[in-house]
Amino acid sequence: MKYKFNINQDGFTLIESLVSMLIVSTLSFSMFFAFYQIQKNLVNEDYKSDMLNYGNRVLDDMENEIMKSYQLIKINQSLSNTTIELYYKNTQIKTKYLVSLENGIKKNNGTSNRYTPIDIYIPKDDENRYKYKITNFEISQPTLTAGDVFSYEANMARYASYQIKLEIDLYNYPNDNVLETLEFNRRVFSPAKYIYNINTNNA
Amino acid sequence: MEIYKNTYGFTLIETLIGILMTTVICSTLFLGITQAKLYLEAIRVKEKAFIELKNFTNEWKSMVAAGVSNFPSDSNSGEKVPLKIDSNGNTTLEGNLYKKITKATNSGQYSIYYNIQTYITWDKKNLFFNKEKSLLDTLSFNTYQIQFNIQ
Repeated sequence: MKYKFNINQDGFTLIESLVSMLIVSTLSFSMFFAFYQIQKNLVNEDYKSDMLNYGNRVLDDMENEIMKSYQLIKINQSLSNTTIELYYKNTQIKTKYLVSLENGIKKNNGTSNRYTPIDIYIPKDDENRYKYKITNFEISQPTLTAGDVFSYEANMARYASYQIKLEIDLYNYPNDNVLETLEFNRRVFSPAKYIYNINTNNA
Repeated sequence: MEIYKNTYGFTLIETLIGILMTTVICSTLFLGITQAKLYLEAIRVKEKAFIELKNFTNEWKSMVAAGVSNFPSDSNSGEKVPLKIDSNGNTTLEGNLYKKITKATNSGQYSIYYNIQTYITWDKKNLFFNKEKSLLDTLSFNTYQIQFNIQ
């Protein structure tokens, strides 16, 4: 039986080894850097997605309640805490929202004194770094701007409407600088408030 | 027994081709990820446009409900609304809101209601690599609102 062996008796030279090590380390470094950037982007996108859902979820809830209520009272408890109380006709039950820049937006549906979060809001990660933070919450009646209809009826409509503005800062993972500010705007018309205003001539 | 001695490693050309292939694969990967990110951004802009159109429609629905019957016509560019804002607070993408409000054909004496057609358009060319062509996107609502008749 005849065997063929292909034997390479010479190893790599020092230069060859060094050059190959350099190429491999450059490629590895590039790949690691690329994957680190991808991971960073994914984390940031994850937080952004969470906050987009959170902002819309919270404002949808508030919008639904405001449409049913005939009166809204805003109480500024401190610079970072605001309470909104919503009253309904023919019932003693009122809905309350506690808007805290630090702890998110919580709701009390009138059945007990407890405020419960509308959605998950955990602004800091395991290492106590900010992921996101509510920076601004405003609720007001819409003002007359250029191009708006000006008449008694239009004023009554505006008087029964609210503009809500919510701003959430997104932080750049893993640094603590603000990457982007998400801005949510809603305009809500409350038929309950409109009917109440007409009946009581409250304009 | 025959023994062949191979004293050669990879040639320069082979090594360069290997590096070139790795670079091409990495670039494709990056390009794919960036493109996916841009598509995601385009979806978010569409969501924002949807919310702005909903607010705009709500505003005109409230006007109809309260008894407004004369509606101003839109300017050519409609009502401008920011859809994308950069970290410095500058608007990078703007949408244009339009409306068409007409009394519904079968609106009666006691139940007066209007047909409200609203739409928003925006140019999403800046969201993608191809910035030469205009890529108009649009969303529209078609709804009815009854006029409140409270005595």
